[in-house]
Amino acid sequence: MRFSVRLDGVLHRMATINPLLVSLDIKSSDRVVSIKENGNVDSNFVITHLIKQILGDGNRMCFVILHNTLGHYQNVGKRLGYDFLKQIEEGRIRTIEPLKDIVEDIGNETNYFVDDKEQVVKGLFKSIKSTMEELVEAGSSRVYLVIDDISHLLDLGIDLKYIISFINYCLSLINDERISVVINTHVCSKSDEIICNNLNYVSDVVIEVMPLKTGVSREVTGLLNIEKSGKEQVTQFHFKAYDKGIKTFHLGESVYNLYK
Amino acid sequence: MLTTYLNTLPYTKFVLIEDSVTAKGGEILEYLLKNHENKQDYRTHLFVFERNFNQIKNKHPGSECHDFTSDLRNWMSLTTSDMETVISNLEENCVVVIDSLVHVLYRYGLLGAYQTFTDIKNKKNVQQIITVLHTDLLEDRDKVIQYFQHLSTLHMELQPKRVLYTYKKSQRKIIKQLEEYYCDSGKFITQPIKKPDKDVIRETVEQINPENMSTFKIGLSEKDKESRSNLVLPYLPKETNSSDGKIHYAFDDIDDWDEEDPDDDLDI
Repeated sequence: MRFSVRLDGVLHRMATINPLLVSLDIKSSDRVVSIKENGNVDSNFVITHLIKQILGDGNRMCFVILHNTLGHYQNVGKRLGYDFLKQIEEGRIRTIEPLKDIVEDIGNETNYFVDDKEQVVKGLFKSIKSTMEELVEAGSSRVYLVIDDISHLLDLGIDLKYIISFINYCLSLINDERISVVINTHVCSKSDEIICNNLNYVSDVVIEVMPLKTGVSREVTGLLNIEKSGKEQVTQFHFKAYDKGIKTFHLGESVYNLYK
Repeated sequence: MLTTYLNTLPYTKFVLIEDSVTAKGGEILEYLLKNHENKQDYRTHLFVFERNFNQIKNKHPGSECHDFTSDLRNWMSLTTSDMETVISNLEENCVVVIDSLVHVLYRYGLLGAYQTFTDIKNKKNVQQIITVLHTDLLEDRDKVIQYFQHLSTLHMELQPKRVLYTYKKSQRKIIKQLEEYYCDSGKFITQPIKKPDKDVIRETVEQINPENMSTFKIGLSEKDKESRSNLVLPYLPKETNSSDGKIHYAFDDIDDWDEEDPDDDLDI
């Protein structure tokens, strides 16, 4: 929906209202957001839409990429209406790409391949902290730390106890009023479950994305559960992934979206 | 009643709250903290291992908060307190609350954590220790729970609306109960589970008439019941006298019966 309003002779164009972001309703008072991906459905759309909201509000972001490539975010961003690489050039988004560093380190025993795994997470956190501090000093907007996806730290051979400490350290960043943390996790093993549960206890918002229980449907891609701390009720939506975006609807109402 | 045991003096020494994601113990911990913070004759010490320290500190001005979350592994080289030193410095009458036992376990290991808790428990000036154990964050669930249940004097296992607790009284008596609980605006209320009244159930059951509950005809009329009892089931043995297993075959019109033995020409 696009509205054009003539105000004092100047044409304003109100932002396109995104149904997913309206459903999620993430406010600036939600300081810790965790996203849990179950099963075969890809929860990456939550992060890409949140990037849209962050950029739309004029905020900055430190993006730790452990799952997809920059090219992926650029492609998805174009479809959602923002230029990811341009934002990096302008300094609104700073990226930390451990995947790239790992590729460069193959063969050497440095950085991500050292035996003492505590140093790996410690190094990662230190680079996150310095990037966040630079972003905070660069302007007066809010700064978001987005980690996609923290369960991959387990794949690097890092012990569970260090990852739990890493999460604690990331939470200490919200001492600054302007910082919020968004962490994406996926569940494949018991250790992943532990990391997810840990985030569940400390998050203001828990977004859970899972496939349909009984199989696959043409009209519905999956189920979205949103749990906010303080509210007993968990909000449930069904969602469908289209080429240009994601549509959410209440359970059983997919029929209203069939012909759109 | 659980709330009675939690509040009677002298305080039970070690309270262990076992919770999980489906039944969180955060509100109960808050309730217990509030109770202790208002008291004048002892100080409440809150050891913060989970969440953001400043948020917790601002929420609990009445307790002395110790930061074990911002720099637990000394990565940022801030002046961190070591748990052992803080504990040995506890001189006055106090209550020790540790917001997450799992984080202590991950930091100091099972042995270290157990020794620390034994030390705190042995200190005479510590009136009560309260801690929450997130059971779904443990890798070796049964072992850890077993050890800390042994160490505790009151441990409660939280389920979605019920709590199973074991209370070790000082006179060697052990009370194990299952009660219902709910948290209402900061208050923690427990009540024993009421057994359903037999007479009430009997009355409700008698009132139910299945015929009225659907548009289909559910019951049987007298005629239906009679024909059901008269029905003979074909696969059950009949009461007729059977001859020695002879097969009686009734020929159809088109059947052609040959009296000869078809195997006659074989040389067996």
